[in-house]
Amino acid sequence: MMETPDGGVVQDRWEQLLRLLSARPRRQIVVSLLDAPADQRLPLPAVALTSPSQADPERIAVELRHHHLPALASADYIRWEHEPFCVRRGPRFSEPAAVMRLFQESVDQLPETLEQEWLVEAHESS
Amino acid sequence: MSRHNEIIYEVVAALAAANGTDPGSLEYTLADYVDPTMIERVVASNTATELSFQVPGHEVTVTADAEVFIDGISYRTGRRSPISTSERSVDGNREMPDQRQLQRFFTNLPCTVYQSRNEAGWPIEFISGNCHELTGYEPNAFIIGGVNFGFDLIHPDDCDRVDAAVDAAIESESPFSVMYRLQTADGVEKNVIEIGMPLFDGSEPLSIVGAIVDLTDMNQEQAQAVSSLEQANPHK
Repeated sequence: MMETPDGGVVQDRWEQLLRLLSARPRRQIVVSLLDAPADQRLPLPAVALTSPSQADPERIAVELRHHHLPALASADYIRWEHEPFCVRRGPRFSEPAAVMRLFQESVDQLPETLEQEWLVEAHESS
Repeated sequence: MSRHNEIIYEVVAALAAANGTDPGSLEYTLADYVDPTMIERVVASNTATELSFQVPGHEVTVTADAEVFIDGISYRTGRRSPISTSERSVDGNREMPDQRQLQRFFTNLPCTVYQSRNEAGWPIEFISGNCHELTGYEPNAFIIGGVNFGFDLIHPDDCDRVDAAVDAAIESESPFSVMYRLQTADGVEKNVIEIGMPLFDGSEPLSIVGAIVDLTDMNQEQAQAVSSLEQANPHK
């Protein structure tokens, strides 16, 4: 198995990356950070909401604090703060960013069974 | 949205209710005390299993039925309900009130008891809560966490001997005992003795039940006595 320069295993990184991108709020955060300047802090839960009309911001804020943000931060994809509640890019942000960028660039090639809006919110993925 | 997508909020809401606060005001982060993915996996598993963990001031249990118990009291969507852990089984049904006494009995035994499938690596179906002291793993690591007792814990040089002892017991439909080296989660090697018995459905060996005793703290005289016993009568 091929190892990365810091001793990690590439296969583990891929599995971790795909696992972390398996939740829609986490994909939404990555795409929002991708669309913003590299050093910008973005307000939460706003940037993780997939559809303001459908989502319960308080509920999503709880899920972000207790699950999604610690998960993304544990992989160094992001950094986040409680007060003010915000998120910014982490040291390994380039990994999820590259994958989400590939998805966005290939979105017109997705089969109908994989509707685009379930990947990320349409207005932010275009 | 499916149950396993909602369960993290349900757990936080239950803890908040137990603390008399709202979910957004909980003072700690759940992920600091448990991997939330493990909670989702329990609820998505559709098996009769549950996950217990500690957070500041509380013991939390989440069942596969997405029931959340805080200190033994059931909470549904952040509300306390009258069912307690002493009135339920792992599949969520009410049961005899002595279930908890039974669990306490297993935990207080000076050995780890288990039931495993008769398959390669002996996948664990049940293991007593005190397995953490012996192996360094929590019970759910074996049941839903992908840790395999035979492949991950038994010393590779002892595997064939353990295999042979179990096979002989199945062949003769009798109990077995075998000593081997066990490798814990943090890399410590322990000498153990396992006493087990195959269970059959007709002539088909389905499971193995047994107990594992840690010999690490035995003095030399005691260990020699156990070893002599095992060598003299390895399958009974």
